[in-house]
Amino acid sequence: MTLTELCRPGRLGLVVLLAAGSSAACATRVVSISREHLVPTAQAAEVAYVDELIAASRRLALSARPEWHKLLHYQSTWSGGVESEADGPSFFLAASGKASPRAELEATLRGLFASVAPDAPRDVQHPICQFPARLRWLSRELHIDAERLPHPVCQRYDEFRSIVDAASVTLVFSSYYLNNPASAFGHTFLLVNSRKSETDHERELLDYAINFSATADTDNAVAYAVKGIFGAFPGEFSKVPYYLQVRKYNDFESRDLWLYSLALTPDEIEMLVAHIWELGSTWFDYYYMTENCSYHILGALEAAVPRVSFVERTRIPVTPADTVKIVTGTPGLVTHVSFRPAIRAQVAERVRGLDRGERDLTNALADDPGTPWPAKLPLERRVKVLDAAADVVDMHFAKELPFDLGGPGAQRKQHLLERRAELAVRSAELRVPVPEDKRPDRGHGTRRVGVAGGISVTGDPTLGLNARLTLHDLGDPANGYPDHAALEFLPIAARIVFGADRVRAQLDDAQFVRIVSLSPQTAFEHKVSWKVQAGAVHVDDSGCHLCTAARLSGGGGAALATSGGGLLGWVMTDVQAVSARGLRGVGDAPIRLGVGPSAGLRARLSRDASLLFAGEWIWLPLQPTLASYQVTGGLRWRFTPALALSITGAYQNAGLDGQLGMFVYY
Amino acid sequence: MKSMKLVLSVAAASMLFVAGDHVARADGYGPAGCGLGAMLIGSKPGITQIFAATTNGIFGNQTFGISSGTLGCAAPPSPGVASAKNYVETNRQSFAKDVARGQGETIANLSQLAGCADQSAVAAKLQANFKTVFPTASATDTQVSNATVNLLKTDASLKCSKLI
Repeated sequence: MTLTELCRPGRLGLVVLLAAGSSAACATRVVSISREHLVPTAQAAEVAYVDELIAASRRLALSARPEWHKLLHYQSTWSGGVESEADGPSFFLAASGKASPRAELEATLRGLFASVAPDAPRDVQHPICQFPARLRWLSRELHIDAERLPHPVCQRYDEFRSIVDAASVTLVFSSYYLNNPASAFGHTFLLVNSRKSETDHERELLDYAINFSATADTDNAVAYAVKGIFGAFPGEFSKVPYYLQVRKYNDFESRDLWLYSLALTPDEIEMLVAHIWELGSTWFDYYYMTENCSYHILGALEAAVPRVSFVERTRIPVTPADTVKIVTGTPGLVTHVSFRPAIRAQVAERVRGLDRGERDLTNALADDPGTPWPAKLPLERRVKVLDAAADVVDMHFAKELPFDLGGPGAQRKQHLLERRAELAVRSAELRVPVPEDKRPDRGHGTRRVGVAGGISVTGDPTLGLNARLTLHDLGDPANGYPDHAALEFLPIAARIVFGADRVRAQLDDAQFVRIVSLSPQTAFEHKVSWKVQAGAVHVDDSGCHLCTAARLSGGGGAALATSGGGLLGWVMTDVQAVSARGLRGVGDAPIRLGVGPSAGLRARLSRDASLLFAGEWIWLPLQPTLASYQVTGGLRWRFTPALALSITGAYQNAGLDGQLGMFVYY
Repeated sequence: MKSMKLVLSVAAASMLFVAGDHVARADGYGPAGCGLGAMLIGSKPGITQIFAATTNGIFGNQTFGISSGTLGCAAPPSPGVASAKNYVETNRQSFAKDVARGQGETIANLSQLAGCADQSAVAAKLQANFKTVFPTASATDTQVSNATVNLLKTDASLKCSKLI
């Protein structure tokens, strides 16, 4: 994403709009409510049987069982009761079902024996068809006599079951995508592996994914944002062909997919399919931070597999990688981890097999597909070069190709592929080695707290405390995260300065969000690197003495990395706006506007240790303080999975300070 | 719990930060075939893509998002002409490369959906006829899928049983 796009006034104006936005109405969907169209059974024998089942359910206290609570997605409320997270009313056969597990269980038992009114709308299903997972569980616990149940025709459910034809289930993680804040943290969905693809893996793309996503009802970006944060979008489960997911994530957005095969019993798989069907008739208000895609995927899983408890282990915010860790952290649940490389990883693998001249030729062909062959290039090398060049074009034009038939990307690709087809030989299958160290479950804990002792610019001793809600910065251990990106949510650092005459607290840094997205220049890709942060910083110079100032800043530039990734450097042009009470800025207003260069360098000493240096010089034109500058340097070394040592030093307008401390990742 | 969520959400809101992809537009895909462009949200990359998501085209057409899914492009429930065409249209960009390379996952899948006897024969046939299937860069997704199916159908030696 370019900086201009990120700084669109519409999105940053969001803060202001939030206050006004709380009135955003809940989107509702037109769905018939089943309970309004059911006719209770009138046959005395059936009525008696239902009463008997209800009495038994009370005796067994079934409605208090965790299995029932998971099936209905009940969660405790602060007032001591429970409430279902499901928001679509058709999910409840009792009018009070959303808050009453017992009323819902008893209404479900009655509903199973009821019939659908003849004049009911077509979307109303018989409860036996609508709630197959509840039926399975209740039948097991109460030994319901299947002969005595009605036998409605469940055409849609039967079709669903036979289409997904589930043999096994895989949890899929779509990796971090910083160019899209909406999916910066990644995404998860379920892949239902059909019986056919169990025996023939080449069929995998034809299987179905089960996805949970919010369904927006507006095109307005601000409305999207406001409604998304306040849970005004209905989130729904859907089944999507897996190939569509692959095209979208691997190709269109260049995100690797990680697949975690789950060891579920046939009964649990049957239960999961049944429960997913149940979820299809409701929606969940979608909250970006909490009740999001990954959260509800866990909820669906544990409803079908009540021996595990996932949801209670989630934390706020629910990040997809954390949900993967919850699953992989359950002993014996994940049997196999595999990987589907994004187009960028495919390009990297293809060019790895080329020599210098062939790489240059690949580049030349990607720019000008008519580039003639050099003399004496053997056929099999021509194949490799053309295959690489076509992938480079796909990577460059990923966002245009599906929309712009006949555009420049499409023209180049067409020409390259015509040349490739003329060679009339088969390419070898591309095998990309699995980057095990990038498995999302191998990443450090997303939360971090730290304590540090140091010396302030005035030479006084300091005690520092810091914390971060999530996720990763450039100095953190490398495994499991993107190599060239930092994405931090609510990082905070403060210090107590023990001065000779007084003790004072100083807020060094408190950001809502900080993103650094570096894209090292390669022969095949020239992307802009950028960063942005919004929050508060400590300012101490002639324009503001010991101030805590609000700051919004960003920058754009370029990055370079050594081939092994050991060294990473970047240079950017930064802009910033700073405001604090008492600050003397533009025209003596308490606002400071600046622009200037910044640069950074990271040296990875190991997967767990790195040196990080950064500097910035900001010109503040027409302002009492003409420039502010800062140079920081530090070492971070993780020496146990959860503990890291940190040494930092900073030199700025007011002087030099330093800290030595520890981080805990959890 | 909700009120705490609200507080946190407000704190979070200086940027729209989201775990996951989440927003699909309710109105599904356009009328022009089942190409990826029609399936993805927004006709142009840009701000809408920030919110773009898993499009599935199932919503909007049906009351229950998850139900049968036999409508439209989103589902190849069983082998046959329609599912083979859908598949080619949605996977066009990958398929084009596989055809030129005479090999690949999309050709394997197409052979399965078309019920062809031997996928390497299908791959060779497609590669030899690249320009029939992809005559120009601006050929529409539907033209590509029709040309593909016709090519496989007219060569009896491929024995693509589901295209009859």
